[in-house]
Amino acid sequence: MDREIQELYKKSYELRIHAVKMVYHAKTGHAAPSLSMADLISALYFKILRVDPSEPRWKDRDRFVLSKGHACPIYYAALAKRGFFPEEDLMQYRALNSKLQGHPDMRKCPGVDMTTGSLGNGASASLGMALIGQKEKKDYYVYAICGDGELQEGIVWESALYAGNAHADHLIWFVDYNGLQSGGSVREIQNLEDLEEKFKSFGWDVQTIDGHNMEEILAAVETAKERKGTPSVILAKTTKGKGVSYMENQYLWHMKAPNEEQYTQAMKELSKEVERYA
Amino acid sequence: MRKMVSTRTGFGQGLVELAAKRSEVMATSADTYRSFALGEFVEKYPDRYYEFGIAEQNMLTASGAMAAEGYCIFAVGYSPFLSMRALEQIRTFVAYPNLNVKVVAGLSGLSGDTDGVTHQGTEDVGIVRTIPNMTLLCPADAVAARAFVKIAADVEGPVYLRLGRGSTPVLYGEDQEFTFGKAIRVREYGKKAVVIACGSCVYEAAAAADALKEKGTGITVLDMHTIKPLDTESIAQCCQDADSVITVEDGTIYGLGSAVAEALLEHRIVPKHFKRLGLTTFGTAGTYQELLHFYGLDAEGIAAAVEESANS
Amino acid sequence: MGKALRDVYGESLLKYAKENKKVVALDADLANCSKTCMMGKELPERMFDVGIAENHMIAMGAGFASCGMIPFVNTFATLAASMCALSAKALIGYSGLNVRIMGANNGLSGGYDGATHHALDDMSVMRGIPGMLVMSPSDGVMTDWMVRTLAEDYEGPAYVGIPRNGYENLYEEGEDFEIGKAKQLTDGKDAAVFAYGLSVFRAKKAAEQLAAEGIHISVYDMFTLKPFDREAVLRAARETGAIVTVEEHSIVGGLGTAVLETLAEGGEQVSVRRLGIQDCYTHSGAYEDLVTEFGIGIASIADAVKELL
Repeated sequence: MDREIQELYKKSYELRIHAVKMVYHAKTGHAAPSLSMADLISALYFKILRVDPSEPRWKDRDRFVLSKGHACPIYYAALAKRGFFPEEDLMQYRALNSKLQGHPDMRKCPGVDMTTGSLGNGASASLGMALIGQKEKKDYYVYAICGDGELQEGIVWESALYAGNAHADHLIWFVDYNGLQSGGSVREIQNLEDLEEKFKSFGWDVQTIDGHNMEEILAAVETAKERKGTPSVILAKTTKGKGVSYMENQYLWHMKAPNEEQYTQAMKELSKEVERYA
Repeated sequence: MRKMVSTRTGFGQGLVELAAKRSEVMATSADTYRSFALGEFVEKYPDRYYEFGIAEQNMLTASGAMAAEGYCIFAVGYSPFLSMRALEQIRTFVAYPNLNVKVVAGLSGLSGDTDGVTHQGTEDVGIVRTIPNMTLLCPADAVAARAFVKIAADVEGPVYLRLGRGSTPVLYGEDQEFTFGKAIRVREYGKKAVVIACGSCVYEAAAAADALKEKGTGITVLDMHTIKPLDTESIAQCCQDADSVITVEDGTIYGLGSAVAEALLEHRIVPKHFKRLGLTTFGTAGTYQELLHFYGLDAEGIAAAVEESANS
Repeated sequence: MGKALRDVYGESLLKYAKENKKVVALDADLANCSKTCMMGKELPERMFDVGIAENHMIAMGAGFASCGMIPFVNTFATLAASMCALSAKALIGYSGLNVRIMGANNGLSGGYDGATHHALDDMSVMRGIPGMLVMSPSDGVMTDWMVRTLAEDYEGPAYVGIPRNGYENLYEEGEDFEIGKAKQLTDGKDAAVFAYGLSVFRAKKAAEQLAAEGIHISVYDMFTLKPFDREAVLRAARETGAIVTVEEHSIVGGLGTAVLETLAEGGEQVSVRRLGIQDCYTHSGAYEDLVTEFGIGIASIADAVKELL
């Protein structure tokens, strides 16, 4: 395996360790929704995104919006590891008066480009950023990660419609398609399929990938960047809770903190993966 | 013959003037730019105008993001669809991150007139007032609306600029000065009553004051154009020796009326009579002037309320 | 901590749904939080999960009600107010439909989820809608009564903010409540405290502490914000001359404002203090920590009373 790819995998598991640790420490939070997007966020923050931790508001940076704001543990972990703030601060997650709020806050947390937490809105915010990029003829890209269940929100489709019409080709959305939402299976609650066709009909370029395959993630972003005249959505098929066996594909882990025993087991499983890629 | 101009016309002029001086000023629209007299703006600055279509939620969240990039966004739409349908977006994605978005709401209060209840933003003041970080401006006429564009832009952070729809009487001369957060004493004939009004109701209150003066009853009229932050100082000064205090607004009494009630009590001022004129029910379809009359918010209704409180 | 009121709600909803076939529940992917999951399990044919689409859900509830059903639509209190205000007004309130909008995690119940998930304007928004019954229960007995009332014979739209947590019950089983009529829990002439939701329990505790210091206050449970019991407020003003309001809500537009409106219109000269979120945003934290930090805990209530005196 390519050394760089291996390193990204390793990082994704280190981020997972942080995320689970944060939720365990806070005794509350969203672990499983964090784990499914660990590979995406690792690829973004350690390969794809053009950002400068010493200047979080740098005008020409790539923007990133975590539209599924509840999955912020892994996002915070990535920001810390990328150098936006010290890793030891991560244990402030959800603590009183912390910069690491229960949902991302652009005014409190360095590196957060947009406040999110109410589903659907991050999609729309990323559109706003992309329109400004177009206007200012900047070459930055705007990335957003949406949850699959989140696509049930109407505002997502309002923004998708606009982005398609605006030919916002510097806008790239990932859908963390883990198939589960807080109340159960997306397919059973409100099925999204045929999702590819839906986005296509809104004027988007659509790719479907394995969201845990680093080569596919990187290649999809490259392809998305090559597409001219259309926004891109990457439907990343993922596993909710990926990396912690008892959380995998269990919607009840959407928002739940592990107990001590579960925590120990999670650390063991995740550390093993880190070693595997070391 | 009184001069009639829509506050939206005043707004459109004001925005063109401001845009000429400030390149960071842009407009977003929910299929409403024409209705906000932005034709000239769009013609002059096509690259500073974004049409979202009938999608207020998307417009506001995206406007927030654009403001986060350093722009001053005037987002125009209709009051019920901004303050109620897109309340989540105003509160969480504009006001909470304290972004420089000016939410410009036409059809506020009863001015949605003949369209009926669904298009009348009669709850907007009560709702927007509850949002932290928000500034709430309610110009009384087209002259004020024009001036308030710049005042809104000078506020660092979110503003809700409350406009009407059809033409309404012009109260102020072109040279009138407006100060953010400072109520204007439109009439000062006496302290039989202090009438605190906002929007088009200020003109009506002034007319009521003139009519009452003829009959020997002197009252004071305050134009409370900035509802948040509220000019509690003027309220306290004016009301401490008044027999009665009456608020007038073209929406529910949970707006300006409630705000004044809070200010009075917090200053331990309890006038003999305190009355909130405004809606306690849903509106109904009719012309704006008909509706003001129907709900007792025109000059006649206000004068009657003053007399009633004086006689009770 | 006593039984969580959301659990009481879930059980009561199921109980009264069994008695009245017209009762249906709608949820937007939060059945495990709102506790409509209990109904979903036993009466799946009358439980509708629309997915994450709150505004759509409320409007769909109006459709159900127009067909003679009694829909209980459930989402976070903060979203019920801010995402659904227009539908609540124009479809439900205006048409007087029998929709029950049930706001889960009201006030600061959202705790760690932070500002985006705290409901500090729901009462203000809903109170502004003409004809809307606006309530919030303070204990389990009252929660059950509210669900029964709304499932059985109440005609018209209603909004209920339901606390996630719960303390020990304030009322005996079978206690009689009347819509629009405050419940007086303690009797004292030094000051009056008006509260709703879990703040009532804390106000009562504050009253007990103050009593030990020789200060006697009346505590009122204002579980109905609309219609509002103006008589209770004016009576208390005359009796005590000092009023404190306590709410897990912005001090703008909710209980505090309703009390001040009443006092101003009633011409009552009293000292007042509004405890609540002081027109600012909140942040993540444990529920009880937030209650203390934002000045609506037992000690803050007792202090406010003493300051007024």
